[in-house]
Amino acid sequence: MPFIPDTSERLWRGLPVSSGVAEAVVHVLKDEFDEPAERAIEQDEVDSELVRLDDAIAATKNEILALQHSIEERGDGTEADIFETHLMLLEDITVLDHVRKTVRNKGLSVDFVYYKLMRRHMEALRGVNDPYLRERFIDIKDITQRVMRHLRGEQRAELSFDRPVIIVAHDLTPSDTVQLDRSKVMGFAIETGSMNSHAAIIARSLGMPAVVRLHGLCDEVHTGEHVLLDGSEGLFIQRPSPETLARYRQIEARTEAQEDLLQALASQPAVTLDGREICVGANAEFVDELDSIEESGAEEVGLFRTEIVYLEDPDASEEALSELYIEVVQRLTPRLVIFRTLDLGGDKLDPRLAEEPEPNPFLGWRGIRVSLGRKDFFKRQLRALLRASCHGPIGIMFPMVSGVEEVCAAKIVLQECREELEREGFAIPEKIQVGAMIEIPSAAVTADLIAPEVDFFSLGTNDLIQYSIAVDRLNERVADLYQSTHPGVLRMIRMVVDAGQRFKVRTCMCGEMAGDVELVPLLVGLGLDELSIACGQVPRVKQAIRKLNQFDCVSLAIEALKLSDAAEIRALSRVLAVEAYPELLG
Amino acid sequence: MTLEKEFTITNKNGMHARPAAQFVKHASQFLCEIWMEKDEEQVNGKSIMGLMMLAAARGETVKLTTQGTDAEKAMLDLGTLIESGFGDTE
Repeated sequence: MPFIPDTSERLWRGLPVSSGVAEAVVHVLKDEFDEPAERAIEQDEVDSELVRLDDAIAATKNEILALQHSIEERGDGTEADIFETHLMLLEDITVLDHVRKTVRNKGLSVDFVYYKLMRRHMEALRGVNDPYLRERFIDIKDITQRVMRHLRGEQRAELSFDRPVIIVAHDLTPSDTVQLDRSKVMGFAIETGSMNSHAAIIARSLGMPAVVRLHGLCDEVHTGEHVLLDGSEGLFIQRPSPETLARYRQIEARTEAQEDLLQALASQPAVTLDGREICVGANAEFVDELDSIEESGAEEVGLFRTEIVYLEDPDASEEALSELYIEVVQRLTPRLVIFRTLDLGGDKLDPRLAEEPEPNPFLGWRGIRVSLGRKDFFKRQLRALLRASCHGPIGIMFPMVSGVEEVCAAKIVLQECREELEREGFAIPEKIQVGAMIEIPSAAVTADLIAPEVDFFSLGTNDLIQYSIAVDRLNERVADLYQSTHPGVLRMIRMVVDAGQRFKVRTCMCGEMAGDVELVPLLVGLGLDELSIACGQVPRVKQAIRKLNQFDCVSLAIEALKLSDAAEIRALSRVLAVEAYPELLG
Repeated sequence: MTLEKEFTITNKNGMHARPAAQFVKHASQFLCEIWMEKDEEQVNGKSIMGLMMLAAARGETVKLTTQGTDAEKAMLDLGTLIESGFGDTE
């Protein structure tokens, strides 16, 4: 009977781990991880076996060093780090000692002993609780594959593609992904894995689709087949039908058109349909982000984090700090840049303190408390910021404020610095915006006492929510309780905005809640003056504002403040969002 | 001299490959013996495989032991490294 190939579309469902859609030809990456034969050796062969091991280790080491060199040239910092770890795994004294002893005592070939030992470690790691740590077995597999290949005397096959491909494999090691031609690889379809797999992490960092847990795929798919990979829905479609292809192409065209529209409008102000303008700013931390900020249409930098320098050098000098701050200001002026003074635990500044860790660092010595407790340090930072203010408009805000006394104390130090600098001949601008981060509940409920002392409030919702609901977001047992639309949180936001309005103080929000597109109607309705978010989200949030009516948002907020259920409140905001800008939602 | 001290792992992804590599890099510079223990399981602090197998996740407690001539310096250096989250910033 003639063989009639199956030409119908076949759909595979897996776990989506990196969004996006790709249409290309398959390349199946063969898994070369078979167990070598258990070969017995004579006692007089032991020494030469061990030399084989040493040679294979040395060859692998050279291979990896060469790889690291070429990565450095390419500028891929994170991947270079992974290979640093591989080198250590390769030369791990415990492993090598064990292998040598076993080869000698049991009279077995080094291939078999090395493989079995590494395999044991791999399986052990796969059995740990932590989902991230579990996936790191792939590093051990990677090293083992290299060493085994050298023991076999084989060369690694060079992979090059003449057209776009989607890689299908059992799993992908760092060595696999690093040598893939990034211009030709469009996505990954993997049989095993999870969100934390190396393949998933790389796909996300490269912005290409990836689907994992496609069990049995490698045996059923051939290199050269035309497929469609949907990393957003977790689908791998073999032999996609014309209808399927047409559907996806339509979605792609729509998404692209939308991105273009958002980008074109990015620099326009965000004004609601009935004329209320909301300032949309960006949060930043690194000098390399500054270009993206300009492109995104952000009207100012609502939060510039200053911790990075101190993590590298706790004793950073005023000179070093002012050089950095001046660069940031010069690049962004005339946009306002609001710098947040050091928001770290005190032990980061003083290793002696690290000796006796605080039992509750979250409730301990950090933020403005550290600055006020280390006046010389605080003055260095404030002086550097004031010097930067000569080059463009800046704001200074204090983190972890628990009450008005801290703000007053900080302002006194600021004034001292200003007077010193003026005496030294610096022309510090007359008016510099000073603000308080509102992230501790006691500050939120006494916002009316703080208002007379500041020019603006900045709601740090991430921490405000944690402190108010008493939930650690990173604690898996209670993470579900973290709700940004908890009625308690909304009431606090309202209290702060209210105090701001009474004393003509601007209220800005710089936590993640500000970037939650579903909640923009609620935030506009609560009366926020500014939303400062990750620069990638700026165009979307601005467009969302443009599609809303402030009147409707205020009615929504009034309604929401009467409700007692966080989910209900969110749903209420979502109704308005879906009505006004469905195309901008997930 | 022998020193012993407990630490809580604070960085987000625990003692994964990168922090383990950093730890080993620092540990290898010292002459003394270095041991890391979690839940009664003890591994050589200069062995990256050992540390990875220990799989110390965020929030877990580990016991660091240093034994030998430069044990004090080692304890201070490695302790600071763990406390600072190995430079992993969130």
